[in-house]
Amino acid sequence: MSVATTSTAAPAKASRLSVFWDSQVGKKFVSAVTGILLFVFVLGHVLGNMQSFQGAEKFNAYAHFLQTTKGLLWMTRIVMLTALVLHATAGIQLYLKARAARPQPYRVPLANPATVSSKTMIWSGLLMLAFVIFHLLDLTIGAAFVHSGFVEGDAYVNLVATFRSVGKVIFYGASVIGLGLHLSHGLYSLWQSLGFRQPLWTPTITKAALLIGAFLALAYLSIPGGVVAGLIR
Amino acid sequence: MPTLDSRIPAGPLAEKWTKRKADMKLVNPANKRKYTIIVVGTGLAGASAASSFGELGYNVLNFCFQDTPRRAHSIAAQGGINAAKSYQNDGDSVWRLFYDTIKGGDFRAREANVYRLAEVSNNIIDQATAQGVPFAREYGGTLANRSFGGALVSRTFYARGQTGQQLLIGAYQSLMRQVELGKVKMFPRTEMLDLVVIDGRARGIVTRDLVTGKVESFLGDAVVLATGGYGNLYYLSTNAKGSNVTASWRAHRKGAFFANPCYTQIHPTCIPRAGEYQSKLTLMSESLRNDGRIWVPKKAGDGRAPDQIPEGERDYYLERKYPTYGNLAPRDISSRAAKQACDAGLGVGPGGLGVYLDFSDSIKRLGASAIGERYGNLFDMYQRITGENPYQVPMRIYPAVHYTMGGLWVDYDLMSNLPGLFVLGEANFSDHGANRLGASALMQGLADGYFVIPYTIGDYLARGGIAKVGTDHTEFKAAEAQVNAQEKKFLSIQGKHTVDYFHKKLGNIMWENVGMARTQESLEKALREIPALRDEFWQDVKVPGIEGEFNQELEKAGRVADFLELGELLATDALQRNESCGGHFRSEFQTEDGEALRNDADYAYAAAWEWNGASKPWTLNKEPLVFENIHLQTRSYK
Amino acid sequence: MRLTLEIWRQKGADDAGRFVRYEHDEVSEHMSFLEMLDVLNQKLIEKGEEPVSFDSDCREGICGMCGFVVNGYPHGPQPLTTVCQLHMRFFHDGDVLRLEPFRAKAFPIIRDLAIDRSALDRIIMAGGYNSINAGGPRDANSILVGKKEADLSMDAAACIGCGACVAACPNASASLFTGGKISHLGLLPQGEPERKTRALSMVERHNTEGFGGCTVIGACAEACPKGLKLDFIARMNKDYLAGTVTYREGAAGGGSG
Repeated sequence: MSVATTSTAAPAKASRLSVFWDSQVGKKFVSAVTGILLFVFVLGHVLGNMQSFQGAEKFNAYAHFLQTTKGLLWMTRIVMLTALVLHATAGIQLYLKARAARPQPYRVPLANPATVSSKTMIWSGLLMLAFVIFHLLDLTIGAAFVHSGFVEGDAYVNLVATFRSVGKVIFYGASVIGLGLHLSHGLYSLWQSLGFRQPLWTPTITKAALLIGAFLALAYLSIPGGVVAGLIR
Repeated sequence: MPTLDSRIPAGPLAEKWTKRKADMKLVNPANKRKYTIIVVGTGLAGASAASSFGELGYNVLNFCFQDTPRRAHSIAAQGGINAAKSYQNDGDSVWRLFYDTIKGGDFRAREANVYRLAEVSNNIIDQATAQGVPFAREYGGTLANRSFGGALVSRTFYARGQTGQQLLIGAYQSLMRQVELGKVKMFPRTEMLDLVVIDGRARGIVTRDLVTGKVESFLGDAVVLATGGYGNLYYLSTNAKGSNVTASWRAHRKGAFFANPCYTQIHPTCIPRAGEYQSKLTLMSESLRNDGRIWVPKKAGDGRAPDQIPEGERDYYLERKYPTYGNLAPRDISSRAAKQACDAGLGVGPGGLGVYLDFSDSIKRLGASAIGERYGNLFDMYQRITGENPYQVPMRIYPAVHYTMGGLWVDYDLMSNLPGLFVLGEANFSDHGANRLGASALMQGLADGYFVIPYTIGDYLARGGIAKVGTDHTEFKAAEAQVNAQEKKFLSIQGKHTVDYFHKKLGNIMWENVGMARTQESLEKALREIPALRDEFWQDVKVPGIEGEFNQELEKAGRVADFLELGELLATDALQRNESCGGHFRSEFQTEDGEALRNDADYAYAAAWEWNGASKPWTLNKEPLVFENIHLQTRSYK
Repeated sequence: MRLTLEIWRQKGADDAGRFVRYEHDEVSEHMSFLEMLDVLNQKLIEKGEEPVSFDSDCREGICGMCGFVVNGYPHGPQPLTTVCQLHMRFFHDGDVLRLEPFRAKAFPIIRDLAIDRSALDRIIMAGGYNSINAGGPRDANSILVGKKEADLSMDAAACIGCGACVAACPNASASLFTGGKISHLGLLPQGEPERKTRALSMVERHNTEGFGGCTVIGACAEACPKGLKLDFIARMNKDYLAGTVTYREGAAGGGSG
């Protein structure tokens, strides 16, 4: 091998945005920012939906408020959909890039000390992506092939119906556990991706991310739990 | 016969370098790109030279046998680099650094070279700092210093225990910048196997691509060797496994004189050998001697654990023998004192080949954390290798071959007797005399590369007369054929023993007979045994594989073949030098209390050996050393 | 003691490669790992077999030339230790050790355990330096550097370029290597002028060399024999993001300063 030089002629000038997106750092930045947005959403979503414990009337009023406040509704929908698409695309592309970076796998698996959550981001993410699509069909759109007997405008009834289905509860449960795992790594690593990581704060952030992830998973699980326990019916 | 003209400028010592620079012919900046300079080696000297040439505008071809230039063994230098900054207000000066260095070298170096080295030492610190070398700092933000063996001032700059690494990385980064800019073409995993001389000038090299085995020629207007020392001749040394003399030796066989090979430095603070399989010895930085106290039990065969031996029954022999310098006595003196203690049966550890280096007093005085701050990485390394914790148990140390002061002969401009062949750093013989002081190897390598060769090579090139030839010249073809033939020969022998077997045997002959203490008798024994071993090697070595592939045994075979010739020259040189000086100690020549006894009347010269062909005796050329500015005296560190 | 070694043998980049089993019964606990392999190689040569190729040079843990994976651990299971400094006293009689090369697309295999890591050099080429020429810098003490910054810079500069971070990373990312260099220079006032352009160009080169991206898994820092911290990657990200926002030239020009 003669030389350490490859051709270093400047490549045709790409736009700054595409250079940014193509770089791992840029992608992770996008991933972190959209992740924060999605986190805010899932947090608000579960807190709002926990109103189901307060009975049908209260819950349906809340649902009605959301449905009729069109400006907020559509802004949220557009922002969240964009965030979701960017977040998922960045994640999948990073995963594919990582696969391509090691075409020959280790024959003896690496003895990585890494956390389960960090190594399974792509899988927890894909699981949630599938669930989100299902969830929209099930409870927002009320597609007949997913949710027969969907009652337009009665969110409470629909919710109870869904959580009386064992299959849906299992899918839901797996997804929110995936969410907890995903967040326990995501909320920790976003500080790194944004360049804010500090040795002083790292241990606190690590713990907080784990706690918040666990809290959210439990909060989400409480709703089907409520249905099963008969608190929501 | 070529004359040995050292070309030292006339005039007062302090003005020689200024005058030399003023007298130099310059290459027109626009013409520099028309010259190609070959640089072999990427250590401190090679990388700094190659990057400086690139910055000036020359085309540079840079070669190293490692997988990247950043691996060169300069990286392993731990302690520090000297400079006469006098930041500590302790009376240091260029003159004092010059004087300490020439005295440390036991008055066997050229005054003018050493003075120049001291003069440019300050520029090196400035340069390295600008590159971003993270030197240790005081809380106020200024550079920190420490003292080092052989000096009574604090003039050593350091970056933890990794000064060599950081300086090399600095030079490597500058080099990589030039590679990116296209001024330097880098050839890693490529070994120089011959020098090509055309019309009396060095014009190129023949190399082997270590991955594909391809033998290739490269043409240049000048060839710069910065290929390090030959300590691995002893098999066990603190050098890297790959360190070798091959580039220098093949140049020697093409006519370059090899000077003072017998000046070999045995470093006092190395981790003792553990067994037959040992592949190298590990140095613990000499800076440890700032806070560690060296001792052996007073009673021979004292088997007690070190902490069970009371103060009164310990012999702090360096402090006793050299009250002024104490544990900071120069390397050659400290090493010999350790050997004397072990020869007297006072040694500690397996085989009695070790002395204690004890930090308990310093830990008591400064606390374990302060000591950890200074030497933490060295302590960790010691513990990894020996399994013992030096915070609790004294280290065991023993001398090991570390540095070679001898090397290819060069004039004041760092050019060998072959015009166009320049030699830098440890590979040349010029600045350290018979013994090198601590923290001055880094200084010399970078001085040569950043601040001497960029000027002097320009003068050589500007004087012209370099013929236009190509790599199809018969000399290139002949050298290629010879390289190919040697490889075929190695592979065809298919004898009984591996290359390492012969290397270990050679190392043993050298260590026993041409080691820390030499006698006429031992040297004559070595001169009988080495040629015999060489013959055996050429009849009975076993090199597996083929030449056209990655073949590490074939690489080693070529290097050991050269060591087998160098060993004979080293012993020859040691035998003719009937005196003791620095790293060359002849037991016949010592004072009553066992110190080296120099003979300035008869041996104040550099011995430059001329190759006359295989199995023919070398011719000795002498360059008298003239001391106009200092008074020769017996070194005393008492 | 006696060991069973399963060593990855591969003639060259085009060969498929396979594990070959060796029984090694001449192992002393005081040997370094590489000395243990030296002894094996001597036996193999004497038997007329091809010795195992592996890289090493200084054998003091500082040059960074050695490195392969032992039972799933780059440089072996001992923390903060290169494989040349790993001693056999950490293993036990009868252990089975499986040795594989560092694997990454950017690190083609040369032979057996020896790999080509020149991609790391090319990342440095893209901007891992202060663009200054030799000669005429100002007095070193005219640049004051706080001890804390100097120490942190030194922590980052301690990288030996061995590639263990890449080997350990599930994404085969060289972010710790790249972030180390960006931090080493960026933490010092001398490196400040090029801090952002350096990050832009080095990160871009990191990508074109085929390394994966950092997803903050932390395996690199665990494997790093010199203890480089993940914080250096954050610093790389910060400098890169700042550079993206403030520099019009973008990624193309930073390195050639």
